[in-house]
Amino acid sequence: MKANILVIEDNEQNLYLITYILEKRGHTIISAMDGESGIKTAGKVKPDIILLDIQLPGMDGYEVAKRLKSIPELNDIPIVAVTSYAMVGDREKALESGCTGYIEKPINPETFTEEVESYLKNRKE
Amino acid sequence: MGIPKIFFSKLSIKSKLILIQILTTFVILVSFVIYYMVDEINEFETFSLMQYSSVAQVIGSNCTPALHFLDKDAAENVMLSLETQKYIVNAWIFDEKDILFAKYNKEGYSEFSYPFYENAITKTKSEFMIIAKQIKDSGELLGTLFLRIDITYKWVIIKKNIIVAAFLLFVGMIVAFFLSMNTQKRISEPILKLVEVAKNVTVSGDFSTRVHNESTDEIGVLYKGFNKLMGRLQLQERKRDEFENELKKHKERLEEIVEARTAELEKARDQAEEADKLKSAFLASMSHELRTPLNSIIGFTGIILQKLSGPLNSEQEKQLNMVKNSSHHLLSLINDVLDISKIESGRLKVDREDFDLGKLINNTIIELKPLAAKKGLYLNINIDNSIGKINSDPRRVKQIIINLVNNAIKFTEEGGVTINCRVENKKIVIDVCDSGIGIKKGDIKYLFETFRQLDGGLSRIKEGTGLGLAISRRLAQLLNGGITVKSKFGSGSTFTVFFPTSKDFEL
Repeated sequence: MKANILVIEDNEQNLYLITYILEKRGHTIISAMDGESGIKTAGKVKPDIILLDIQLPGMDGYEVAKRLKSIPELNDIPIVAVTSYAMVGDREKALESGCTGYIEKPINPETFTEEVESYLKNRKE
Repeated sequence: MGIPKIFFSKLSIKSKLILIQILTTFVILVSFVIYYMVDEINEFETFSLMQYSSVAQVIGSNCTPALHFLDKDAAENVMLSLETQKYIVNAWIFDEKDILFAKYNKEGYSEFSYPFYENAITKTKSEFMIIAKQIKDSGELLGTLFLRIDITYKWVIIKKNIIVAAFLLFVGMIVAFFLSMNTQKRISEPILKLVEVAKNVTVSGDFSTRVHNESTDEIGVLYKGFNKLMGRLQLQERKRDEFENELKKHKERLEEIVEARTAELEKARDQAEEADKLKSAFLASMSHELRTPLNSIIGFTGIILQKLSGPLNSEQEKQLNMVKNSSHHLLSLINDVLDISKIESGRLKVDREDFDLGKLINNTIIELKPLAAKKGLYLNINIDNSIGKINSDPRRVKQIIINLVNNAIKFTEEGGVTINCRVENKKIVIDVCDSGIGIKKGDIKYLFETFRQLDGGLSRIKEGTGLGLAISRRLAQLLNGGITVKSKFGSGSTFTVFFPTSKDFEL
């Protein structure tokens, strides 16, 4: 069960960390450093899942999620918010914007892959 | 006499004066009329007696020859001249032996059998008057003449007089009424005027009103008194107005001062709120900024320790574990600071949902077991089976339990920690008992203050922000509950957290 995963993340180290962990498990990672290019890339590659940072330069993650959900051929791709925002209501706000899941940063390298894969599984069911 | 007295007291002065004058006039007039009537009747009787005595004298002397000659017819002829007398209805002549000699009856009047009378007696009855007259000739008694006179016409005259008197009384009363109307004015008018003025003053409150009266009688005194009273009231009013003005000025000044102070305070409050907002925003942003690099540190440390990027020697593994522990500690510090800033800015909200409290506690304790095991401590749980599902914020409940149990483990070197959970009267009570160092009595009050670890030698070496208990207490309060503590220095502490099973219940 290898998946194409689009990671939208502006922090290089975090991007590298996520990419490294997921690639080690055999997944294919496509990345984008901001919302605009993320939406474009998603349209091109039609990934199996999108990992989305919320704090992004320019368009924020909530807006990116809303845009992705408004594109008919992309709206069934699960979006998982991965964010260090930990204020009350952040989770709800992310889910309202169209995200399927929510993973709080800092990520736990031991469980992160399983969490991501669980959203893939949910999709297939 | 009660009712007339009340009636009289209810009358206006004007009516009283009129009534008194009319009553007086009435009494005088009636007395006069009664006197006049009695006098009139007496006069009439005296006059009638004199008049008919002279008639009797004339008839008697004209009958003298007839008596001398015992000529009855001649006597009765003489007596016929009585026809001209309207009211003489019967006449009799008795001889010197008191034997009826001759008689006369007026036409239309029946013969009246006259009872025997003593000589020369004159009597009046209510309807008839009898006049007796001795008939003498040169001193020699020849007989006696009796006249019976109808005096009922007396009443006709009296009636007429009464009508006239009543008419005069009526006219007199009317004249008296108009006169009294005129005279009462002189007394009642100034009084009524004063009453009117007093009424107006009561309504308008215009104490500058004055009344004028030249007379020196009681009314004049009353007017002067009224004016004096008005003067006093005017003076008092002026004083009161001055006082009120003064008071108003003071009030306005006070209001100005209060307004200025309020504005200052509002400004200060706005500034403080602004500063508070900035502080909270700064803290939130700082904690986010701090967590981003920490994400890398924890993540990469984890990867290396998972040996995803290659093997490690034992020293490297030991040191990397230290990095991992330190970075997790740093993360908990950042989380605590973020929490306290959220709580203090009032932005931490409670998310209520139904959940199984026993399950939550069990899962939480499983996470903490390794920590206790590392120090060789036991970690026991006793959960009342009847609790079941409650409505609260599971994440906050978990946070409180982690804080309390973490603390207990941190300050316990021997023995262990026991968690008891029960429900009391729709209230959840969770005890966290440890067999640790305990807390000095005087220190308990500082326990829940932020950024404070108790200065007890041992505590200095304990890691932590000192925020855990403060956060836990605030969280418990947000859940409508609280935290209490019991401790004996040297032999352990018990922290008890309590909160309602549902937001519908107040504790």
